[in-house]
Amino acid sequence: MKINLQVITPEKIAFQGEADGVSIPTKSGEITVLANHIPIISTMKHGELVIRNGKEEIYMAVCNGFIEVKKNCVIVMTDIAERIAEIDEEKAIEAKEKAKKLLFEKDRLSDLAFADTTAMLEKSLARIKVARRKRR
Amino acid sequence: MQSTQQIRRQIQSTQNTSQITKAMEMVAASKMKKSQQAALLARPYAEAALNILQSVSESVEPTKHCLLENREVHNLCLVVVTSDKGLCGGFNGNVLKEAEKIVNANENKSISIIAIGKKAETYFKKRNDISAVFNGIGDTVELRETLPISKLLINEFTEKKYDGIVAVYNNYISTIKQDVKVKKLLPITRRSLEETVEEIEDMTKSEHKENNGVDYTFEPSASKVLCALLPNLVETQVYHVILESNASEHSARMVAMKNATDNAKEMLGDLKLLYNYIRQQKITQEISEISAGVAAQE
Repeated sequence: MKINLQVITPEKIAFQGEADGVSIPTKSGEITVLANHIPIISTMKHGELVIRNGKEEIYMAVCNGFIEVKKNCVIVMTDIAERIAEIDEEKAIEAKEKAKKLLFEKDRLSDLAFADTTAMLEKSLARIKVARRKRR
Repeated sequence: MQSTQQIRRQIQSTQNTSQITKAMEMVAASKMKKSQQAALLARPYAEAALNILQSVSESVEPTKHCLLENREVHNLCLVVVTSDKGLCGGFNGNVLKEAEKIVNANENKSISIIAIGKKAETYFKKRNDISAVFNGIGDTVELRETLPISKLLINEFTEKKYDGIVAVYNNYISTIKQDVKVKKLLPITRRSLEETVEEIEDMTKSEHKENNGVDYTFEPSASKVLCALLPNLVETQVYHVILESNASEHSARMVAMKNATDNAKEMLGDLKLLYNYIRQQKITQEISEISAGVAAQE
């Protein structure tokens, strides 16, 4: 039995179709949703989303969002959802270093800027994690 | 009667203008297609967010989250969405007229304006106090570009600087039809959300709504999900408003430019007719003068 999966970002539908299972980084730890999962609504954090379908595995960098599971229908809403091919690893590393440097001076940052920088760091971390898959 | 030279000059300049408007029409058409697509692609996310909210509010009594707080409105904030550039028919005028109407209707309250787009800025600069201006929101908006706006709105609302935030913008219906819409952004109310859902569903005609009876588990807890979801909803709504406005802007510009090109063509026809008429008249006159001269010599 398969689940019906949708990965939606505000800008596009990143994935739509059937899958055997999906692993999602939630705020209370990674969960894997297979068919006949109980209905659940949860919040996501940044990390790596893995869609499994037969032997095929699709990795996506995701950052913040929600998941809704009901009756074998899984909806993942997230700010970004990028596949390996879409990620520029060098840029992500650069962004990570920049964000880290900024966070060291956090006394000088306003609350808003602090939140922005944290979000940037989280996104780049997720991207780097997924990009590294390419080499293995 | 005008001289042929004058008319020739007029023909030339009309031709140039029509070429420019034609080019602008094509540019607007391609931008329109892109922004329409973006507006369509943003809909599933908004829909999913609203579905989750619905499930959450069924399970928990919407706790007193500050974005849901319904205060008596003393300070109203108006978000006026216009374009940076002109030449798009009544697009900006309609929004500004509606905004002016709201300002007049709420004279007893203090009103601040948040202007999006240069046209709104120049319009309100002189008389009302503008609290923020956002310019240069590109033709293809990304969510990232609208985040500063939504963050500002959320902050000001939670700090009780404003008790209500309303957006005035052009809602995209079709290429030739855009309506000015007034949408309440904050506080988030069930009704305003339902309206948005209906709008979205009208257009995409999707058919999943049956949430009733499903017993969800919430992680970490329902109220925490709600807290995380609400700012997200505001962001989505702001993004949605700007996308709609963008799609409307390009459609309005395309139609305006098409009309301009058609008018120029009509004018060209008239001018050419006049030009030939005068030219022929001149020739006839010259011939009759020559033949008169010849007749006189004989």
